[in-house]
Parts: sequence; structure tokens; C-alpha cells
Amino acid sequence: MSWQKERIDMNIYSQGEVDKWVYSTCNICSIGCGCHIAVKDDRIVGIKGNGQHPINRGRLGPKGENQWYANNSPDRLLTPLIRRENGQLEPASWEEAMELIVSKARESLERQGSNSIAIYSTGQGYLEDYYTIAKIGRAGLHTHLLDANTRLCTATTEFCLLQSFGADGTPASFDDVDVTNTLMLFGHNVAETGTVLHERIMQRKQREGKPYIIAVDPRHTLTARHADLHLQLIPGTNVALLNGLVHLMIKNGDIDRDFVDQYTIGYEEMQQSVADWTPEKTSKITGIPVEQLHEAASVLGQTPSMVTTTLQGTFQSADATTACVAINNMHLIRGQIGKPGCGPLHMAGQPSSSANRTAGGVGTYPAQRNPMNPQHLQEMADLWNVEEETLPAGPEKGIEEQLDMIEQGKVTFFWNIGTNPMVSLPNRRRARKALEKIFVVVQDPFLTETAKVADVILPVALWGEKEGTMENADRTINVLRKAIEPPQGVKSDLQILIDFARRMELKDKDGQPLIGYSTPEECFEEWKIVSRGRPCDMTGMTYNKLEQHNGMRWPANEQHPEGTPRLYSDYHFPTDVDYSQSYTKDQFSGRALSRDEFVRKQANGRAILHATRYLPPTEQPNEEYPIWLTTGRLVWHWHTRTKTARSPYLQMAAPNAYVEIHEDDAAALSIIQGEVVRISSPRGWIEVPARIGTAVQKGLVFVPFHYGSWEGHESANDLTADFTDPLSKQPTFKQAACRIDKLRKQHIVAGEESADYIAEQYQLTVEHLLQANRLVTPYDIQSGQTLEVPISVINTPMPPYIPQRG
Amino acid sequence: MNLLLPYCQAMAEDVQQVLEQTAPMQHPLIELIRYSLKEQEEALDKLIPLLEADSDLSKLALDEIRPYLSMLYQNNEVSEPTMRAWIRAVHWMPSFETEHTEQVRSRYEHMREQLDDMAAALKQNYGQAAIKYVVPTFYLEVSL
Repeated sequence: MSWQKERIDMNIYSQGEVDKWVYSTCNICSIGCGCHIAVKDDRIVGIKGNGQHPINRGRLGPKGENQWYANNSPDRLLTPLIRRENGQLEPASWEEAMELIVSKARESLERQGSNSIAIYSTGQGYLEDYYTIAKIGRAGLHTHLLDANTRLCTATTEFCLLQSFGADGTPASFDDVDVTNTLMLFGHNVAETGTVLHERIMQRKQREGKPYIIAVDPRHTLTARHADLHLQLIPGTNVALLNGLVHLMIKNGDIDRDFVDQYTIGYEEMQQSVADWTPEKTSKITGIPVEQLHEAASVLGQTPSMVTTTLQGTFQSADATTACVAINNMHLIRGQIGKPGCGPLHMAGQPSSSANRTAGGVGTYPAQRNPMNPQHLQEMADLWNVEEETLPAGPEKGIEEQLDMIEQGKVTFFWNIGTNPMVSLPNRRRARKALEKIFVVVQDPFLTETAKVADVILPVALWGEKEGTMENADRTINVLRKAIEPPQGVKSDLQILIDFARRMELKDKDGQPLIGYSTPEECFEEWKIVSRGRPCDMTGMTYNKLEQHNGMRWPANEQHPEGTPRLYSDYHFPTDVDYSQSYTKDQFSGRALSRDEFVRKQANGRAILHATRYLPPTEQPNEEYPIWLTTGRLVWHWHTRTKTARSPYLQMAAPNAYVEIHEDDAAALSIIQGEVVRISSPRGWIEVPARIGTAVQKGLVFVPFHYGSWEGHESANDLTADFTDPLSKQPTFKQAACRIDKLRKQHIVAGEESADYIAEQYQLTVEHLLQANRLVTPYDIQSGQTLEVPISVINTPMPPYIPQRG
Repeated sequence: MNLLLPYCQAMAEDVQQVLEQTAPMQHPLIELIRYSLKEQEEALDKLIPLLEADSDLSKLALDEIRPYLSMLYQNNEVSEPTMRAWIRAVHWMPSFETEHTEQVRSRYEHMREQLDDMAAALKQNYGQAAIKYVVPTFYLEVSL
């Protein structure tokens, strides 16, 4: 492991010694840091890192350290709410709320059939919740509309892995990051989204000078600043860049021909697809100088080991799945997979989004079963003791397609569990309009922005108030123990789901209750049976073992009792027809291939190289909206701030949204630092202060997506477009077109007014007044002249987070 | 006449029309739509002669027509939402506006009707279990 010593990060507020420390796992990002929760007087009063946990050796990120404040927030929901005829949400009993939900679900099923019900869950819940959603949804309600925030976050990870390797599960792990020679962070701003992993990387870098880091990002992020090579590409050109790099690697002869011949199929087609991606063409499209392309290709082509990580810069960009497949191609043609320090490590955004994919709460069937394969559905029918014919088949529908279905009147019941889509969905006002038309259940600890569309709200337990497991970005399953009881009146997601199944009288084919378990651990034991023999086999795990081992990576079974640090070390890939999780999709259009088409590929245990055709972003800057808009994350906040905004420390660090503008663009528009400007796109507008600098390239602005109050006019997703990737159906948050408009009032200079006087009237500096009017000296201001004055200037300092504290 | 033939002939007409209307258009989503339509066109070119040759659907083995049906349905699954996305894109970027926007939408709605009706005919003829992995669940009435 890279950590040479432990460091216990701790954040407690307690008068006197705490009563106990309870074993847990951080519930913020996808790194999966081990931690202990401090409890005093039956309240959570702090957190400390778990020094024994190999992922973090006691370290915690700033969000992780502060996540527990939300548990004690005075605005926790403590009773269900029902929207009454007066349009207001009013308190109700659990009995009334659950009976209303059940009656509406029954009504929807009777009137419009199974696929009129959609369950949209989260990446912050527990594996046991997801498995139960899968079972209730598919075997109980027979709906094929199971999706989650994971669609916005990690769907591309899943579908790029299905395309290349036949099953989900990222091949490399953090252990490989520790020993690799070259690390390519592709659209992965790890310094802000996974601070502990970044610290782990940088500690080794300081110690050994390794790995050589290549950062690919249109922004000069904190991550890029620590890289050896920053490829600052034009937005939406990931596939163009990768095609150019693979072209050069092939041209330079940097391929492992034996590996390609023995363990892959599709080389010729893949090679043809990059044949005309010369450095000159690649440079023209990506904006990256030819010399840098050669340098990157040379490093990637010569390095003895390489790990490539990806995150939202890849997943939420145009050609998302194709870009990730191109990365898989790169590893395969170099034979750099299944070996120490080698392999793609496609990340996840949320702490347990991987668990949702694995457990079948979203996308494919549980334990990586193929929804197009009759054998797999028969297995599920046998495991659940239901009739196979009742289980829905075929490719899944993502949330944006579900919104289409709502607009068409096909979906009438929408169950939102543990996520805040009214802030996180692209083009959110369209989504709001759709959801306002139907019956919406919201399960959340707080009254979020999504409450606006809720008909019923169920208050749920937070982290520390329930037990379960999560899967992080590198296949590690961690257990989280219950530290305290949830507040009175609050239930866990699992309790609610089980109660729903009971009230709906969901039964197996013998008339027994469909959900036979009543605790998370009992659920996990059933899940283990479902996972047996599948890539994610967890039969070798128990809650106690997970705690003793501080997490285990699947598969963990008789053959791998300690878990599996890296996949495919035998170079056998799960592409056998009746084992594969997917028959794969057409790499360009996303059409699901039939069984016959997949059989004809004859992959049979070999990885699949795909042609990677570049398709430019759907929306690009134009005359009316001349600037690229991209959105993303800050080190101080997580997702829609439901938890992090309730930490005084985090909220103080980054209280407001802003727009990051390149200094040359700001100068061209005479925008001053902190000036509130209007950013408009074809979907809407926001008004936020400008942060001027060089982090973004010219012609690009960046808006953090965390902020989304309906009143605030600062939601990035009022601007974003709801186009999706054809394969993963992940929305393209990272590329849209926008316009910057100044918000100014006019001041006519009176005879006696000086520059100092005028500036003071508007609480500006003279320098800013001059800058806003393109004037050089105070003497340029003349009597009778009309000056422009910004209507508002808000300073938006962002305290730096220093990850390496010792 | 084979029960499926009128649906497929109507679809072929729709596919042909949309391909003609979109031929001059330059847009990433149109590239995707046309790619799927061309696959559907190829499938229909093979499927229609089979249906014409065998007028009784009950005597036509599902295996004979399965690949073409699969191609029709699965392509519609991806291109129908892409078409809707394109309509939005056109609305947001008026320079893409064309006289054919509404016609394309209308053709897709018509194609959907053919696919829905054909799904019902397939279900009636071959049974739910046989067509389950050919026709996506969203084209079939499913109830508890």
C-alpha cells in the first residue's frame, strides 16, 4: 500500500469523552474511507478515520470529516408529509402515508400496467436497499423502469465495461494506482472529488517521483496543476484525443501483438477507426499541440505499467461511453490489464453507486445478469421463486427516457429514493414540469428542492442511523454499523421498502411474502446467494468478515477468500455468451445487439476492441450563445449540498455558486472580479458572481452544479442540456452553449464628481470602476459621461484545501 | 396477406421518408438517427419479402423473422428518444430549424404505432413467452 503511516483525521464536538466509537465507512464520495462514528448521549458527535483501513489509513476528506453535522440538523424531517388538496405539504402518520402510496401504486398498475411505475433511487444508499428495490421492482411490480442517480454519475462506467469486457466491475484497483508507473487521470479531478485518493497518489509521487501523471481536462484544475503533463483539450473532444493517441501508439509499434491476438477480438475494425486520426487532425479538433500529442503517446506507448482513471469529465461529456471504451482499447492493445499497476479504473461519483449497479437496482438484473438472456432471467425467477414470464426483459431506460414517458402519460407513479433530481438533473425545469403532472413519492431526510414535486414525503434515516454495506469505486465492499437509532418518527429506506412490499401483498409463486428478510444482514445473506457464481460473487463475505478485513473486493468466494484486488489476471474476460452481463450494444448508436449478433462476434472469453467513432457534442457555441458552458464539483461540497450545506464549516467555505471566466474573456467583456453576471443558455439563466482567472480556457465558463434553490437563480442545471450518451444514457452535463450578459446600471457623471467619489457610491474600487468601463486612468472620466456600474459585486473567495497535512 | 405485412410496409414508407428528409441535415443527432434508420431499412428490405412469400403468419417460424424484428424494435428504442432530443435541439438552436421537423416527429409517431400494433399481433400469434426477448417490454401490455 502507498500509505507509509497512518494519520487519524478527527472532527468531534463533544463535552467530555465520547461514549463509544462505532465502525463505519464514509458516505460521501466513492473512495470508501474507513471511519468510526463518535457517539455521546445517543447522538452522533463526530467522526475519525480508521487507521487500519487500507484505503485511507485514518485520513478523511473535508466533506467526510463534516458529514455528521447533517444528522443533528434541526430541520430533519420527523414525520411523513402529504400534499393536501390545498396544495400544501402537511404532516401525516406513517399509516396514512404508506396507505396512500400503496393505493396510488395499485391504481397505476391497474390503469396503465407495470411500466407505469418508475423507481428512481440513489448512489448514497446501501446495497441491501438496492437489492430490495430490484426485487420489489422486477419481481413484485414487474416494472422495467428502475433507475437512479447513478445514471448521472456512473452509468458510463458500467456500459463501457460491458462493451469491452462483458461485465461490470472495474479491472484495476487503488492498489494498482500505488504501483503504477503512469497514471492518466482522464476527466478526473481527483484533487477535488476524491481528496484522500489524491493525497495517496501525491504522497507516493513525493516519495518516489512516480507515477508520471497525465491529466486530461479542459480546465486547469488542482489535479492538472500537480500533473506532469496536462492535456487541456477543447470541450467535447475526448474521443478525438484518444483516437489520436491510439493512432500514434499503433504507428509507433507500441502494441502487444501477442496479447491482442490471444485475448481480444475486433482489432482490425478498431485500427481502421483511428487510421485517419493523424496528430495534425487530432490537434486541430482537440486544440492540443502536436508535440504534446507525441509526448503523451510516447509515454503511454512506452510505459511498463499504466492505470487510467475516469470520472465525470469523461462520463458527462459527449461520446462518454466511446471515450471510456477507447481507454479500454488502449489498455488492451498494450496488454496492460490484469497485471500489477495496470488497467482501467473507471471511477464512480457517489459512495455506493457501484453497489446499485451490482445489486440490480438500476440497469441490468442483480449480480450482473443480462436482461436479454432468458437463462439469466430464469435464474432470477428460480432464486426469487417467481415465474420467469413475469420478469421484464430487454435493455433498460434511463431517467431522461423515463421523463419522456412521463410527458407522454405512460408513467404515472414516480418513487424518488434518496436523491435530489430537481437540482441534479439537466434542464431541470423540464423535469420539474414533467414530475408535477404525476404522483411522486420522495424519500429523504430533508425537505429538498425535490419536495416541490412531491405528493408524499417519507423521512428517512441517515448514515450512522442504519446498518448495511456499500461498494466503492474499486469493488471494495465495506460495512457500516448502526451507531444510533434514527430520530423518533424516522425509518430506514429498507424498512420502508419492506413495509411497502407487505402492504402491497407482494408474494412469490408459493404465496409466501416476496421479501422474506427483515434486517439488512438477512438481506445481505440472501443477496450472497444471488451473487454466487457471478463476477461479483460475495459468498465469501459476512458483515463480521467485512469489518475484520476492513472491506473486501469482490469476487470473494471459496476460490478468492480474501477478495480480488484486480480482475482479469488470467486474461479471461466474461464474454462467454451465457455468462456475459450483456450482448453489448452497437458502439455508435447504442442499439442493443441480439443474442445472435453477439454469438457471431465469437468473443468467448476474449475482450472486445471496438471502433471508436468521434461524434461532436450535440450543442456547441454559436452566434447567439458563443461560449462553452461546463459544470462540475467543488472540494467543499458534495452533490446537491443536502448534507454538506448543513455543515457550518463547509457552507462557510463555499456558500454561493459562481461562474469561472477566463481573464481574457473577462477583459474583453470588461467584467470585473466578483461582478454578478447573467449566464443564459437556451434553457434558462442564472445570475452569479464572476470568478476571473486562468483555470478555465478561453471561450469556456464553469459553474459548480451543487447549488439549486428554486429562489436563488444559481442552478447550473437551469442551463444544461438534457442530451444523453447513446450507450450509457448518461446526460452530457459538460457541454452546452451559453452567453454572458453584464448586469449594469448607468451613472451620468456630474461636474464635480471624481472617480473616487463615484466608485465609493457604488462600493467599488476605482480600479474596478475603470475596468468596468474600459478606462485607463481616473482622468479619462469626463463630466456628462455615462458610466456603467455593475449592479452587484460579490466577493467569492474559495479557501484552498490542503490535502497533505503531514 | 401476412398480418405483419401492412405494418412493415407502413414502416418502410416512414423510414424512407425520414431518410430523405434528413439527408441534407448536418447534426450529430441526425447522424445517429440516420444510422438507426438505415439499419431498419436493411431489416425491412429482408423482412418484407419473407412476409410477402408467406401469407400465413401462423406458419412462419419466429426464428426466421426474429433478427429483423429485433433490428426494428431495438433501433426504435434508441432512435425515438434521439429524435425527441433532436426536436429539442432544433427548438433551442433555430438555425437548425427545418420545414421537416414536424414531419419527422409525425413519421416517428406513426412508426411507433406500427411497432405497437405489430407487437400485439406477434403476441397473439406466437405468445408472450416466445416474443419476450424480441419485442421490448415497453411495446407490450404487461399486467400483474
